[in-house]
Amino acid sequence: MDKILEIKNLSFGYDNKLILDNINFEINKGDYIGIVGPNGSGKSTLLKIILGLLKPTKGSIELFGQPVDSFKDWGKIGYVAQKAASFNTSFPATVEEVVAANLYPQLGLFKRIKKHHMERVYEVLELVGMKEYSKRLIGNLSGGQQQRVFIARTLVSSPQIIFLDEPTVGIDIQSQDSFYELLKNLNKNMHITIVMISHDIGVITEKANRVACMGEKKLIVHDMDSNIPITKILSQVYGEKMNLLHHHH
Amino acid sequence: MLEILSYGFMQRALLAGVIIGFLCPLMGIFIVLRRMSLIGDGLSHVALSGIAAGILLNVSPLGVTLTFSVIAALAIEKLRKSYEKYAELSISIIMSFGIGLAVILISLSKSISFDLFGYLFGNITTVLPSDLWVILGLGIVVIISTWLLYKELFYMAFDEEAALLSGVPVKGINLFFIVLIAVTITLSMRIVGILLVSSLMVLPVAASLQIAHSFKHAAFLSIIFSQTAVILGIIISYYFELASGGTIVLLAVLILVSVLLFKYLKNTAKKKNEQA
Ligand SMILES: Nc1ncnc2c1ncn2[C@@H]1O[C@H](COP(=O)(O)OP(=O)(O)OP(=O)(O)O)[C@@H](O)[C@H]1O
Ligand SMILES: [Mg+2]
Repeated sequence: MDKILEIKNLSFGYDNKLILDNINFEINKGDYIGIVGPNGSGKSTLLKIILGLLKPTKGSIELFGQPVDSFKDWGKIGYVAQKAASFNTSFPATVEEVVAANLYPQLGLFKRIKKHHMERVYEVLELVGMKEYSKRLIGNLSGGQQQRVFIARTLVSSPQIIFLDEPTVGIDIQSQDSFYELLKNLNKNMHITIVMISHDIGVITEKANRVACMGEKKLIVHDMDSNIPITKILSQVYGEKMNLLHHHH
Repeated sequence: MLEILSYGFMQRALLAGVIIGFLCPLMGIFIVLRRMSLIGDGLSHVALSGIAAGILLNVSPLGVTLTFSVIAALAIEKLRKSYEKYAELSISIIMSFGIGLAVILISLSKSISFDLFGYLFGNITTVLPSDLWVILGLGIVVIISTWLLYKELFYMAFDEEAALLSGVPVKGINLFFIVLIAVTITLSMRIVGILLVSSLMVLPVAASLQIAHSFKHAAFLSIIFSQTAVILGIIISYYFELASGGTIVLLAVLILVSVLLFKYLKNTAKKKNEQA
């Protein structure tokens, strides 16, 4: 199997406060991985380390077989941040301008965005069902629509893996359903690897093929095909009281 | 109209004005959207000390000021790393230093006050031929740089983290951009004046944000508004013998108010239509 990400013996702390302790984790091509865990357990931190935004205290991270420090091919990697939808809503940018910005990995420094580059922009906007909103100001869209635009923005550079940090926060149930449908389509038909942080354990256990549970500075990875019930690991991470699995979707 | 153009100093003032009318809103739109509006004020106060030093040493203030404000720009970027959570603090520190130094330099000289007035508030009669060449040359360099880095500056203004992740050399461009701001302030001082240049960076952008349909549209409108204020301002200040910087900035305020009024009337008309 093609390894996209390999984390070995990773430890990390903010100002000496240990957050992640000796984590090992692998992601293969085609995976749909859910990362769950209580608030403050270090999920977003782990993602930022993977993306090279934070430097680990110990351990190694390889993206597509290359150490993250020397990794250059950022177009292959998409990221939708936890706060992506909390941008300055009065910023005067249209949907197509926001999406076109991420053509950068293809274009490089100084090159101007031309008409023919925009075809790719409209293609991905079509894919996420936002093409007719191309000329609208991004601040005037609903939260769910903005989230789709941010997915389109990562898609425009043709990534092979997309990391999403709590992408459905503040989005109504119906839009969430079609959002998950979109992710499934990207994963199944376009073979894009998906890694999603979410508190919606019900959805995660249903959609993902592997679930990584963060807790007590450790990461426990569970294969959804295995015979061991995931509730065991979840109660280990969240404590016995957790009954979040009663989520009807 | 033709009478104005027959004077050499007016030709120079208008030509310099057109360049500045491009530069200020072009820098301004990225400054405003990145919430760095204070930086214009910070750098211009350092520029003031550069002018004072130039006059005191009896050398061209343009060169000294350029050196001073570029060094200050680099210092602000450096300090910003020490105060990551309080970016505006680094600007305040440099601004205080600039005012302090300027006051001391001014007090050292006895004859400085008259010359200084033009630099503070703008004076169209003072653009020398040698100044014009510097303004044209450096101005075009700044405009071309911004044009070439347009997509990077846009991406960084909208979402700096995402820009960094897609490989944009954010650190280097930040540094380069702040140097461009320093150059713009220095080039604008003859026409707009040190104390008002920051306003010309912010006001046309503020007006354009009210009615823009896109980022490109906002950039375009800011330049139109700024050119209107600068060219009209220079002409009016000639006929009425006013400080050009003040005239230009008041015109920019007038444009902003008109845009706000226009938007208000349009919205009320729309509401009425919906009710009917
Ligand atoms: N910049 C920072 N400096 C210091 N500590 C931080 C910083 N960012 C996060 N932390 C701490 O690190 C821990 C992990 O934070 P992180 O944001 O990774 O958690 P999370 O699992 O994503 O939580 P949530 O579910 O609330 O998003 C928390 O205790 C947090 O307080
Ligand atoms: Mg988080």
